[in-house]
Amino acid sequence: MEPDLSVVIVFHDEGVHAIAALASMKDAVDLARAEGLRLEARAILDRPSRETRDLVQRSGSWLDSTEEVSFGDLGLTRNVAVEAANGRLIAFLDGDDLWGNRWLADARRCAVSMEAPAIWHPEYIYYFDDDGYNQHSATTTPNPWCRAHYSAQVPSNAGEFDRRSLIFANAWTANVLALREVHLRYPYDQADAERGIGFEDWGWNIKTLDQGIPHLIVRSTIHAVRRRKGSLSMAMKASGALPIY
Amino acid sequence: MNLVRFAHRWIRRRGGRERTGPYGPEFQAFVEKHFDAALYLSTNPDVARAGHDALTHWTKHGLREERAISSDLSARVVSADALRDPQLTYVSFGKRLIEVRNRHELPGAVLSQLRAQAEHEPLIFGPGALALPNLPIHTLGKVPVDLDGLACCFETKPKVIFVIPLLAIGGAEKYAADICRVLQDRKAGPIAVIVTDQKEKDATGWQDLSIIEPFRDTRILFWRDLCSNHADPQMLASLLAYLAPDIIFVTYSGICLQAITRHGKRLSQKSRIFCTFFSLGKDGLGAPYAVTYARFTTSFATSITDNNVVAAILDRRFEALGKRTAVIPPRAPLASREVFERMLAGREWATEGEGFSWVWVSRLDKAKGLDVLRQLAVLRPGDTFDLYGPAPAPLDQLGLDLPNIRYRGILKDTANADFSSYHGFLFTSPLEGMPNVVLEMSQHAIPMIISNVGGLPETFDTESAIIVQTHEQVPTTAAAFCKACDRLGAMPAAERAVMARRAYEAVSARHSADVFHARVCAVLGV
Repeated sequence: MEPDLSVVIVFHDEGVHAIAALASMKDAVDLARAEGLRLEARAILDRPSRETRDLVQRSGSWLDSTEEVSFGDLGLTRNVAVEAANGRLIAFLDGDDLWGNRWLADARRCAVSMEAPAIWHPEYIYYFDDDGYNQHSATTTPNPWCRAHYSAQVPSNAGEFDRRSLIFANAWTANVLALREVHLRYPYDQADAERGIGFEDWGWNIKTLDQGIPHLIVRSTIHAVRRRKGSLSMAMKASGALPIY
Repeated sequence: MNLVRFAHRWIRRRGGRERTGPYGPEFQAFVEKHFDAALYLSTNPDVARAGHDALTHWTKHGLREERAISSDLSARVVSADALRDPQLTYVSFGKRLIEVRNRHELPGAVLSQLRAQAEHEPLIFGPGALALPNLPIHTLGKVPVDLDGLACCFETKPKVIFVIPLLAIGGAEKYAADICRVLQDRKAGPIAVIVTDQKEKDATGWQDLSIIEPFRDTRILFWRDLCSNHADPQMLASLLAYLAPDIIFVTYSGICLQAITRHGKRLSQKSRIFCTFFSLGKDGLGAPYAVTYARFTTSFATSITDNNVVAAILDRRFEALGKRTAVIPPRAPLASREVFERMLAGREWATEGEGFSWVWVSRLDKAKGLDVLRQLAVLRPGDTFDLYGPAPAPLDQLGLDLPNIRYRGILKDTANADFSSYHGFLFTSPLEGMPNVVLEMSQHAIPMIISNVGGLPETFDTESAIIVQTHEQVPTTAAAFCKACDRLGAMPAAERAVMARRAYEAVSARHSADVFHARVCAVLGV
């Protein structure tokens, strides 16, 4: 029987961070299964470092499948994952982030409550740093130099959302849940460092929104996004890449 | 009690109750206390445009769509048996509930989920477990840009974008404006000008500046007014990448040169980029843009300059990049031959021994040779020196407080100014590309004594001007200028007239509108 939801975690060079990411993913998968959902949990590794491969093998033994590709490109990797997935819905997870355990169950519930396709995002993002304990406060008041913060994501049908803002900044993060059919119809574009094209998720958000697919929010959900040196988004920012508009 | 005010309040409440009545008194009380109709309409312009009553819209549609009801609160409808978050407020709404949350606080259920992740990743508590609820909440995707202010460019995208620092009198601005004129003549498409270093209120009256007159027929965007994060080159690059004009023309805008440096690969995919560099300065003093940025922009943009000296240096340095610098000598506004001869005939020619009256026209800037000018004025106490140009400070602060130096203000229109009472024009700047003022002054039938800088020797020779060799030492240069002044003084009037005429002809041959037009078309490919 076709699973309700395919959950795909994407790895490249996350190293030791893969352990926490897989543990967090398992929490969300376990909760969703406990609530009756049929899930397949998959990992896809794109040109993984040896350490990442080894750790995924050891910490991800509970996964339903693990696949390796060699693109060096997040967009192409996700497209392959979409093709291979069996669920009607797909949720993507980045291999160095963490998610609130209600994410999969609540997002799936929102997705099936609507007839028309939509792309679902968590309500909150918590940004934290690898050197987070340098910002530590022992009181209820954060340190003035603390960089960790929350970002609230706004649905595209909100009065305060302006489509034109996507020219200057991405409005939503990449760990989305959507119909597999949406992903097949609107695959991710390939990054092209030589042409200064990157931020495939940003470009994908623009492309899908312009095709009439709303980007909506799953209330009371949160993702924890790790900001680290050497991450793909940091590398893209440093290289001066911009999305395709 | 003010009866009128009481009546209005009663009518509002009664009207409100009529709209909220079916949902119960708890809901009515909540609405009366928290619903901000004015904010609802301002943040939901679609509701305002349709003329809907704010509260009616919210109860019928906005609640379901989770539109914010005030600056602090948002609400959504949940079923009566939904699991309640103890940190949120619930209000009866007919047979269902409204879940109300403070937009500036993280709901407890969300914090619990986050805290649970610390079991896998202790760094979640990096900022402090106690401080975690009090971290700031931003809105993702909120941009520091006046999107409505940019609407004119979104609706009809410009084909050509000039990026300049200021709408002011300046050689760089004039150069860009003259190129803009050519593109307008060639009907290159809608043209926009992004002004990066000036707010609109500081550019008041720019339309009166004749040297940048072509910009009057373009869309002007003051970047500092439109983008509060204007110092981030990615913001400007994002706009340029989205608009993707055929041509991006950058003249001395530091932030745009940074944008080209970082995002040039991307921008050059859809746009042909041109960056002007007029001077390399002396030993890089002052870090002129050509020294700082040409190395980075050359990979993605064509460098343009107004003189062969700079072009040769850039080409030699960046030969390995395989791109050549284009030289477009600047356009000079030319007087007609008839007007020139009339000016020549009307000119005053002082004789040797008389005190000479000199005119000096430029920005009153140390880089323009003010030290030399001062020393020259000391050496020639019987002469007078009239200065025209923008002055950042009074003469005494510029070291020019001598009895024979007079500041005359800014010339809005050099071409139509009257210099007939002056015996000669002095140009003392030691660092230049191709100074426009010298080209302009050549049209005034006035003998010229000019420093041998930049591209000036490409247009003038010893027959058309007295050219002074500049030295590192100011006294040496000043002495050389003094000698040149003596030489001019000793020249018969007829000889001075011949020299002035030759200067006029040299400029007409190399800097006419037709020559400029052809060169711009060839370089920009229009």
